[in-house]
Amino acid sequence: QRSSEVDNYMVGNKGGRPRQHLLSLTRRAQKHRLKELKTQVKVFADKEEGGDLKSVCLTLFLLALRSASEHRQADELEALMQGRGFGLNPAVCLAIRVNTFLSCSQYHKMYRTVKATSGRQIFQPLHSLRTAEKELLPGFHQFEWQPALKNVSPSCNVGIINGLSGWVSSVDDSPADTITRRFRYDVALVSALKDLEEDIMDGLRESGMEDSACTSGFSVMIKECCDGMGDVSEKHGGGPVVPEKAVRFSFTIMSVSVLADGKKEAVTIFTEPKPNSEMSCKPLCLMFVDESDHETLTALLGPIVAERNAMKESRLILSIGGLSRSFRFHFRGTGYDEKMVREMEGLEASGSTYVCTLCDSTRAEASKNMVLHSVTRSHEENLERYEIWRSNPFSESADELRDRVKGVSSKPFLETQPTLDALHCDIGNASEFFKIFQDEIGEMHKKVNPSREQRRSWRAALDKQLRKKMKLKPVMRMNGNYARRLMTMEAVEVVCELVPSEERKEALRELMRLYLQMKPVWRATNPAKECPDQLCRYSFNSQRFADILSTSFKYRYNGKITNYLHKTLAHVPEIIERDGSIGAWASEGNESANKLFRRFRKMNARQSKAFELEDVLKHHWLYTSKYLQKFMEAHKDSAKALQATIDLDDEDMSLDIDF
Amino acid sequence: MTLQPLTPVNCAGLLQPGCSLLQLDGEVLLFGQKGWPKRSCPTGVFGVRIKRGELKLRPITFSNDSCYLPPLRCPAVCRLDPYDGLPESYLIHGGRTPNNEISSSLYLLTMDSRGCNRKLTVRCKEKELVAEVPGARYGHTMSMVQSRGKTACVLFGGRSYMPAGERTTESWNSVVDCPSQVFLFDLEFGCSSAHTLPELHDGQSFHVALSREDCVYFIGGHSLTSDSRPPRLFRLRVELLQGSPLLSCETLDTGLSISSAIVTRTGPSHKYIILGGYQSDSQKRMECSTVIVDEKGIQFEPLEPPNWTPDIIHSRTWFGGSAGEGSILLGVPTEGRPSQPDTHYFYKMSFHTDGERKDKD
Ligand SMILES: [Zn+2]
Repeated sequence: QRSSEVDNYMVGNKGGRPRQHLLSLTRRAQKHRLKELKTQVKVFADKEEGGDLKSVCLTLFLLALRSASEHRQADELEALMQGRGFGLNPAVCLAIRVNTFLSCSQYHKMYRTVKATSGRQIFQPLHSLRTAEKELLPGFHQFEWQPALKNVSPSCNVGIINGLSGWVSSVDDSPADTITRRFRYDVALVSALKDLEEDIMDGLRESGMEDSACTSGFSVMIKECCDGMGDVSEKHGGGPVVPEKAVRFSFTIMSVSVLADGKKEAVTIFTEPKPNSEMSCKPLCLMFVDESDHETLTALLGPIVAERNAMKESRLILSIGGLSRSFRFHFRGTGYDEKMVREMEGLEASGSTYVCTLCDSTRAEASKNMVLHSVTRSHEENLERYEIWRSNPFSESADELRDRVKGVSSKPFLETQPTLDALHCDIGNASEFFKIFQDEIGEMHKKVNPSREQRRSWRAALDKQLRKKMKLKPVMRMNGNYARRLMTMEAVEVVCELVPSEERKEALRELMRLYLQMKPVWRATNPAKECPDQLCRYSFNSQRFADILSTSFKYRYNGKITNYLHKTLAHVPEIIERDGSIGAWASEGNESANKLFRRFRKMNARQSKAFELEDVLKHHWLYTSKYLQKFMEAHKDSAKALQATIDLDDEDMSLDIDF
Repeated sequence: MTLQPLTPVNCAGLLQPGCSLLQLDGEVLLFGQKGWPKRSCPTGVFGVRIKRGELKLRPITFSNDSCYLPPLRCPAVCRLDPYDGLPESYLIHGGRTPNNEISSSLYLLTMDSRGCNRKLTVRCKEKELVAEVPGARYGHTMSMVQSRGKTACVLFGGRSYMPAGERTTESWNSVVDCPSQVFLFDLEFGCSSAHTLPELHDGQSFHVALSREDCVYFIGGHSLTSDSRPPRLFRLRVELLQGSPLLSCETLDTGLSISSAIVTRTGPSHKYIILGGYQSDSQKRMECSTVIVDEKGIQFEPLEPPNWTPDIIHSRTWFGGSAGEGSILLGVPTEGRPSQPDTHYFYKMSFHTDGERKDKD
């Protein structure tokens, strides 16, 4: 049977099929293919190295790794050769611990059990995991800023710091009723870049750039997110009274590009493959604060804003791949919901006449002209407008002045990128469609002022129908999952069963059809590649969508339009042209990290208010480490791997170089 | 003296420690709301109404020639008092904005007009200061002095962030005492001068400043450098001579250990009630005092405090302001009571003024 397998392979190969990659072969086939080489190496080993075939092969492998700059793997191999580790690399253990949400004590228990049952130290003790984690946490690597950062201390080894930043609880000043832990922004960026070191080097190599040729001209694009996590109350031991709400500020390295000397165009050497995953969304600052408590929020975010501003004026000098390289950072604050954008940019609350955070349009204008608006608002201009509002230079009435500054009436605090928040846009539009469905069931176009009871009965009918036909349970507040189910042709058909007029059914169907054509454009990470046709047709589709709204659904859109519908119809193509994508810059990573916060807090943090944020922040940071994720990828079925390691016998534990 | 609990009606979230109460044309105004002003009251200034145990706030509008100052916490607020022959108005300097920037601006608030329904309109003007101007600060005081037919404004104390170049993001929110200079400026030209007096060597803030004619008394206060509330009392005399003014300072030994006190004036004579504030970081000052400033100097007399409620006794902090002559609005945090939707309990305290007492006798 053995020989027939080999024969199969040989036959297949002879038959002109492309030669399979060595690593994809079975062990037998590999043996077969390397037979010649093995003999030669054996001869060499016998002659030159006293017959130590194993050492010759390992050394060859080691040299190959080193010459390809795969130093981490090489280090592991070296450790193995020196007999230091028959067990798992500490980083692998750390990766397993972090990704399976094991607490230190749970890990320690497992480590003890494995050691006792197998008689060997397969998992590394906690202390060696701690050493491994130090390298991955901010504050380990040396770096320099040129010029030195304004208002930021020059020290590099800064780990988790108190986000109160010197805010003391004196009774005369309002005492701080919050606990906050954070990383210093620049130190965190350094750590995140070092975590990407291998990817950056791979990218350079793939773009055919000599390591030594590129030491400057690196640009790093950062996505920033900040959002309330809602109620996080948990009955925790002692400590000061703090709000039961929390806010997290996080960032994602979206891309790294390099403009080599003498070249005209920058080459992108790293692009985050999952920009909306919680795996790439790194926590920077955790605060127990109500997101609408502006005074406290700005006190806590103030130093982060100052660090960000300083970094914009300077370049980071950091060793990557053994060479000092210089990086510039570009920050795009796109991961904010509309409420937070308005709060941070000094705009009136969402119900304002000034319907949009991107343009100056009023609600009435936006409903009259649904598609033709361009992005005009900017942080700079918001600041200027606040100053006009404050000083009222033309002695105008409050209303005239408000119109002059288009609703800017507080001083912008933090720069956000005027964009469309794809996640909340989905949800916002879905709740609008829900209302349209409801109105259509009640034939609103024929009615003038339906009573509250009537409206309630339509809603009940819609809820019932969706529940019966689509198993969609009614929700108090629209959420992402509900929105995804509702925004389908299936849902429209189900609704149409309750709509009497054929003509109106058709209008509903067309509305949804158009919406579904438009949606991928602002959801896609790379619309030009993923949905080029829909991208091309977007303006046409949105125009058609707008026409239907202003004719068939005039009863709803006469002088009114919702904030997200306006953005969807009026701004998508321009933003895509500017940023390349809307979906990639969405806030989902931050949003889905909220569950992580609760999980880490429960599983991995000391049960004390004073320490828990520190533990959560540390754990969450490690969870987003690409370096650990790669180990995890290698040990994919972690549960299985755990079990397997426990049962492994000696033979399998040594490197299999049995010729 | 009475202590009456108040029920705030849809407005509890607007009052916060560091806010100021002003009295213009018989109305009590709230300035320094929590957060930035919302659409419902773009000026951020509210009329305070207390009726039948309810506390209500009504938006106040500004005249067209006004500017819109941000809500400021712990600014220096100085009342220009008709009792002292000045047009009734308020000067507001410094304070912390909702973004935690510390302001260095000076604003003048005056009554503009009474519209239909006697609706009050206020005028707010920014005043430019020139020459040796006081830097951005909060927790300081401003007082008016009158000498030789002239008036001037005395600004003293306060806190600020560390100077640029020293402030780092890791200590971004820590504050320091401002240098203990006295600033003097007139309202007409805004020309400011800084004066150093040997008696005033430590920086201080959250003190009380009371002025009569050419004297200002600085009572108590907190010094960050020594983190203490020494029972200090200074008398600063300002003579507004032709040319340069002459300032002199005396240290008196009858001071109080007090910071962030609430002061209310009780009539045309310079008689005040001092209440609230802190004796130390962990101790509120539960006593009350009457302060009389006359040509002989300053005298303190203890005043029977009201029967404090347990909420008040047990709270770490409190805040408030004068809600008219002999009347004080007091706020106490509801901390540690998640069942309580509002963050503060409110009380109104009333002291009988001399006139009323006579009526009753
Ligand atoms: Zn717009």
